[in-house]
Amino acid sequence: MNDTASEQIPNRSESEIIDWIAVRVANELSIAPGEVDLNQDLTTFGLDSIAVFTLTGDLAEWLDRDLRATLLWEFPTIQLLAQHLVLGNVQECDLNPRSLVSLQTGGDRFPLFCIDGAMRYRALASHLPSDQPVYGLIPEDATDGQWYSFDKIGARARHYANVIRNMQPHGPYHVAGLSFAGVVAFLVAQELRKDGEEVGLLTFFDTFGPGYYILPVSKRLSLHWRAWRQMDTRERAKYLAERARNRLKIQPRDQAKTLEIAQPEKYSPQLSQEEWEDEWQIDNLARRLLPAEKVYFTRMIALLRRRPKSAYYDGPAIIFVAQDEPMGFMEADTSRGWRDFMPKLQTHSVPGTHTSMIQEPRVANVARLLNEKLQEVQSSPQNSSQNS
Amino acid sequence: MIFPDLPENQAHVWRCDLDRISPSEYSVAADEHARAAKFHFERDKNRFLAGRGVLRQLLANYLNVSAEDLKFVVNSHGKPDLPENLQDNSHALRFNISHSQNHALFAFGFDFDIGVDIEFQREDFDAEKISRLANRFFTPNENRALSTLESLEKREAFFRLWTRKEALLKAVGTGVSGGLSRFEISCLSEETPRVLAPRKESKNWTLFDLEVEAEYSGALAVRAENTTEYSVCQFQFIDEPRA
Repeated sequence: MNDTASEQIPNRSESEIIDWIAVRVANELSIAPGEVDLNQDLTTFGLDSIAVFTLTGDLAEWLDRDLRATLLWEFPTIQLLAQHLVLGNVQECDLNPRSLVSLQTGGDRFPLFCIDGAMRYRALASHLPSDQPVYGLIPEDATDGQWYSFDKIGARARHYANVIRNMQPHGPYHVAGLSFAGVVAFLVAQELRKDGEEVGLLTFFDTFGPGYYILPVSKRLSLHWRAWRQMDTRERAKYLAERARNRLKIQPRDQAKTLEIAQPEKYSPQLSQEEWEDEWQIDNLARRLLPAEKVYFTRMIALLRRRPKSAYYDGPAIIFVAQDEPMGFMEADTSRGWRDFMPKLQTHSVPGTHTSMIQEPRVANVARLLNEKLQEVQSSPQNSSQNS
Repeated sequence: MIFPDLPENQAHVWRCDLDRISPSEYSVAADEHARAAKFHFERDKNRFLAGRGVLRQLLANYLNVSAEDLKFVVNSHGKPDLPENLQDNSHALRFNISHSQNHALFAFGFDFDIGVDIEFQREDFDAEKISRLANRFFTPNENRALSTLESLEKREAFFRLWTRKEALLKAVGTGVSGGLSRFEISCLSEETPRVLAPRKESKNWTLFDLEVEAEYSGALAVRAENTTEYSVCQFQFIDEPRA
C-alpha cells in the first residue's frame, strides 16, 4: 500500500475531493449535491456498508492511489475524509491506520484526544456531550516491544502529535491521558506547541508528575498504617494481596526488562482490535510500573526534570486525582507533583481509585467537570500572545 | 403469537419488512429516538426506529421482560449487546441485526457470538465493477475465485461473499471496520460456507446462508464452541404490536 501512495501523490485539493465525494453521495441518494452535509456522518444518509465500501473503491481509483477499505469508517464525514486525504499525502505511510480510534464523532467542538488507549476512555466519551468528539490514540506498533521504552517516549509523543495533526490540522488541541499516559500527553502537548500550535486543554487522570517523590520508609509505614485502619477485612485482604504481588513481581530494573514486560505475549496481525489494543498491556504495565517507583521516578521524572522549568507547560490544564488510591509510599499532594510546573493547573480530587475513577459509575462526575473545563477553555482565548 | 423456544445449539433468525412496521406502536428508548433524529431521510429514520422496536419486542419475548425495560450496551465498534444484569445467570442471550433497504434480519442465540448480514444485490454491481473492488479489497484467493465467474453468477457470488464476511466480522464484534481481509471465506455456490483462512480460525466459526427475499443475500455467523453442531431456524416477523 505504501509503495503506490509514496510513488504518486495525487494533486487534488481538499475542495476538489469534497466536491467529488459530495456529487457521488448525492447521486447515490438521488439528491442535489448541495443537500449533502459535509459534516454529517455518512451513515446518517442511510448509506450501508457496501455503499461506503464502493465509494472508497471509486475514490481510490479517481485519486489513483491505494486507500484502506476501512478509511470511511475512520473518517466518517466528507470533510474529515477530504482533510485526511490532503494532509495524509505526506504522512500516510508513517501512520498506522489503527493509531486513531474514534470514540465519539459528530459535533463541531474541538476533539478530545486521549492518549494510549481507546477502551479505557470509552466510558468517559459516553458521558461527554454528543457534540464533543473523542478519539483514542493507540500505540502504533506493538510488535517491536518498544512502545514503552522510555528512550522512545519522545518519538512516540511526536508520532501522536502527527496523528492528531493529521486529524485536526490546527489547534486548539485537547489532549488527555490516564496515569502514565498523562506524561505522554504532556509531551504531546509540548510537541504541538513546538509546531506553533495552541493547546486548548491538557488533562491528567491521576498522573504523577516531576514534583513527586518517595517518602522515607518510616513515613511510608505510617501512611500504610493509616490506610489500613480505615479498611474493612475484605479491603485489607485485597490490600495485602496487592502489596505482596508488587513485592514478588519482577521489578523492571533496566531497559531490557522494561522492554520485556511491554512486549505482548502473543502477537499476530490477525488479532482483533480489542485484543490488539493496548488494554491489558498498559494496565498490567501500570500495575507493575506504579508500584515500581524506582523505574517511574528515576527514569521518567528524571527525563522531565532535565528540562528547564521554563520549558514546562503554562497553558490550561486540569488534573483529576483519585481520592481512594492508597498511595502510601508517596507524599500527599493534590496536584500529584505537577503544581510547580504548570501554573494554570486546576486540580480536582474525585472518588475512585487510580483506574476506577474514569470507569462507571464514577466517570459521570469526572466527565461533567471535564466538560465544564473544556467549555470554559473553548469560549475564551487561551494564550495571551493570541489576544493581540 | 406463540413464541418459539430457543435451544442452546440453535440460532433463530427473524425476517421483517421494516416498511410494514409502524414504529410508534413499539417501545423505543429516548436515546434511540435521538439517534433516529440524526438521519437525513425520514425513510431511514423510520426504518431505524422500526428495527429497534422489533428488536426490543423480540428480545422481550425471549427474555420474558418488558420491551421498554431493555437497555443496551455497545462495544467500541458500536455493536449493541445486553448488559449482564438483564441476563439470566446461566445463559446469555446474544443477538445481532442487519438491514438493507426495507428488509431486516434479527438473529438470536444463547451463549455464542452471533453476527448477521443482509444485502440487496445492487444492479449496478456488474462484473467489471466487482472485479475492480475485489481486486482492490479482497484477498488474492477470493479475488481468484470470483474471477472464474461471469455476470449474474459473479454478482451472486460477490454478495454471498460479502454477507458471509460482514456477518462474521459482526459476530467477531468489529464489523467491517475490523478489516475485510482479516478472514478468507468461501464464495462459490458449490462450496460450503466457511472460513478458509486463517486456518486455525476455520473451526471456530459456523457460517450459514439464509433464506431471504429475491435479489437479496443473507448470511449468519456463529462462534462454534467445541464440536457442537449448530442449526438455524428462520421465522417471519409480522407486525403484531403490544396490546
